[in-house]
Amino acid sequence: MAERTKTRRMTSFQKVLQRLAKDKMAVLCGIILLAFLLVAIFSSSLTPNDPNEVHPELRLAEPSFQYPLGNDQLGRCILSRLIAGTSTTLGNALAVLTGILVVGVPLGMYAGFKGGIVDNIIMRLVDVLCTFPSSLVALAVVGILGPGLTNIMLVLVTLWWAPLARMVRGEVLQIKEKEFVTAARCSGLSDTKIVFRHVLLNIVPPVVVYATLRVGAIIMHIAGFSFIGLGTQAPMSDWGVMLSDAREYLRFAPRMMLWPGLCIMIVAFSLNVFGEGLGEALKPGSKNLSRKEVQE
Amino acid sequence: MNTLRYICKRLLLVIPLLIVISVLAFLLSNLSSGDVASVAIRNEGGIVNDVTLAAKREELGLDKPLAVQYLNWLSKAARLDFGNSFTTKKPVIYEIGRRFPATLELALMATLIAVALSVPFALISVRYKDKLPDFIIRVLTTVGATMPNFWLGLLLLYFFAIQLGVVPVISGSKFSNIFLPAFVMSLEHMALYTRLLRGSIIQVMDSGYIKAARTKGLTYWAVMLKHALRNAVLPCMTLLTTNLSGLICGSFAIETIFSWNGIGKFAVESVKSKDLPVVEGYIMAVALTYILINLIMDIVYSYVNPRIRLEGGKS
Repeated sequence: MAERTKTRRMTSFQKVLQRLAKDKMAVLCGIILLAFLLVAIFSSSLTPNDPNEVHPELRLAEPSFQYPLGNDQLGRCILSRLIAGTSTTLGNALAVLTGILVVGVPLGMYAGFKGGIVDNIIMRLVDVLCTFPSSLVALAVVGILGPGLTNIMLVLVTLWWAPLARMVRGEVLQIKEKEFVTAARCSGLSDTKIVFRHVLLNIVPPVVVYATLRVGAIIMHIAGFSFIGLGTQAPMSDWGVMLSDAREYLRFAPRMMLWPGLCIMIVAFSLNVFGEGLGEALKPGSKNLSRKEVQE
Repeated sequence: MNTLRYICKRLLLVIPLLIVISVLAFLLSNLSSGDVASVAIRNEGGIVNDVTLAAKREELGLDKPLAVQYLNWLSKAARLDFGNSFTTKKPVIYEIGRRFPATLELALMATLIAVALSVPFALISVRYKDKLPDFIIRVLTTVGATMPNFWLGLLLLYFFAIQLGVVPVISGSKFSNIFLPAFVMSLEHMALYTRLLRGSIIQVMDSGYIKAARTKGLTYWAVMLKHALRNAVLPCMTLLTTNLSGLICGSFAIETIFSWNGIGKFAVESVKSKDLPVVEGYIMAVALTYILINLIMDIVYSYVNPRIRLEGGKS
């Protein structure tokens, strides 16, 4: 029984992959994302020079053989800083995403599955949080606790789990009405088992799509605050900080602003296209999945 | 009756926002109370020691319980009294009031540009659906939505101000310099409207009354402009208001880049220089504007689209 469901899930997973493969743009963006992720993971061994080594004599130097993208205002290797920045930028965004998922998914599932007063309380909280403008709250918190990346990340998690919980709840409400859940309940499964065996699996696709599309927004938000000097603080560095440095030397070394901005844009663009492609590929797929489970 | 209930419901929803924002703004002045007193003394040119610190704390009411302080602060805030700015020594409300019109101007201009560009883009995109112009517009809108606006701001500032020299590097708040920052701010919204409008026009074009109008012999553009666009615009309207208030809240990066003398740039500078009264005032002012815009537009929208009003009243 268990094996059979496994093979069936595999086939629907393969179907999704097949459908995704037809969307050339999404595949390309997926590869780009994977490349960035690999760079982020192995950043410490990929940097040609020490990203924090200061060379006063190479201040704002032109690109050279040893420093392919040139040097910044302190003579640091821009390429190395870019690579090191990849891991901080993506790492921080993924940390925020994890926080949003950890809070939003269980609360949304609980609200959707249980209903009643708890649902009502959670959803009113969600309604309220959704009215909060994130940049304003972030600015207020930074004002109180001082500039810093952790504060920005905390604000993003506190506010952005709400729309995710709302979406998850909607999905769960739909799944709850499906026959396979009724069947599972009739066969005497407890709520916890139904949630983990049947509901959780079915909300994975929409959550993955949502998460992919959200990471871009997280990256932009953090970079935006780093850019105005209220996010990541020295000696830590990310793409936003690099752009902030570049702004000071716009007139003398305009090429400094090129690469970090380009990286943010490529990653955000790829996430967007890949996320939408994934959503398209999963749409009929998830239906097949539930239909098959109904047949079981 | 329903309208009234709907408005009440909307009002109830914003109360928590007001409370949280006001508590945040209040904490701003109190969490680091030692700091505030010593900063205030230093700004007045006094010497910081135990005696002056205690006196200053009493003067500022920092020795009272937190709840009392909050209520005191709230009653002052209700009268728009946030004290004086540490750096300019003038009342915060004066400083903010002076800069607010520039930010509002920028947000309105950005909205205008976004609408002015997205409508023709969407129309072209639908007319040539799945052909080259549609494809180009779709790629452009995706790029527009994913390009960090502060980066685009830097690029344009470099190109137009430093390379071509057609605009000054420091915009101040002169109206003739508004277009570049407004365009940068409008881009992501323009992308969003274009996509939404495109989808909603395509949907409307499928409906019976459009087909009826076409079979009646009306030309494509007549049907499009008279019937389809009008109905397709409605779903975009709510987005417009959220975005307008979002533009006012999130203008600080662009204002900083273009040295646009609005409240956003002022707030960033104040956070950096620990000019807390200004930050407090900024947060309350922007939160109130945000709530006000959303509320007004919700009500206007409920008149334009009765379905919303009825649903809102029922639930």
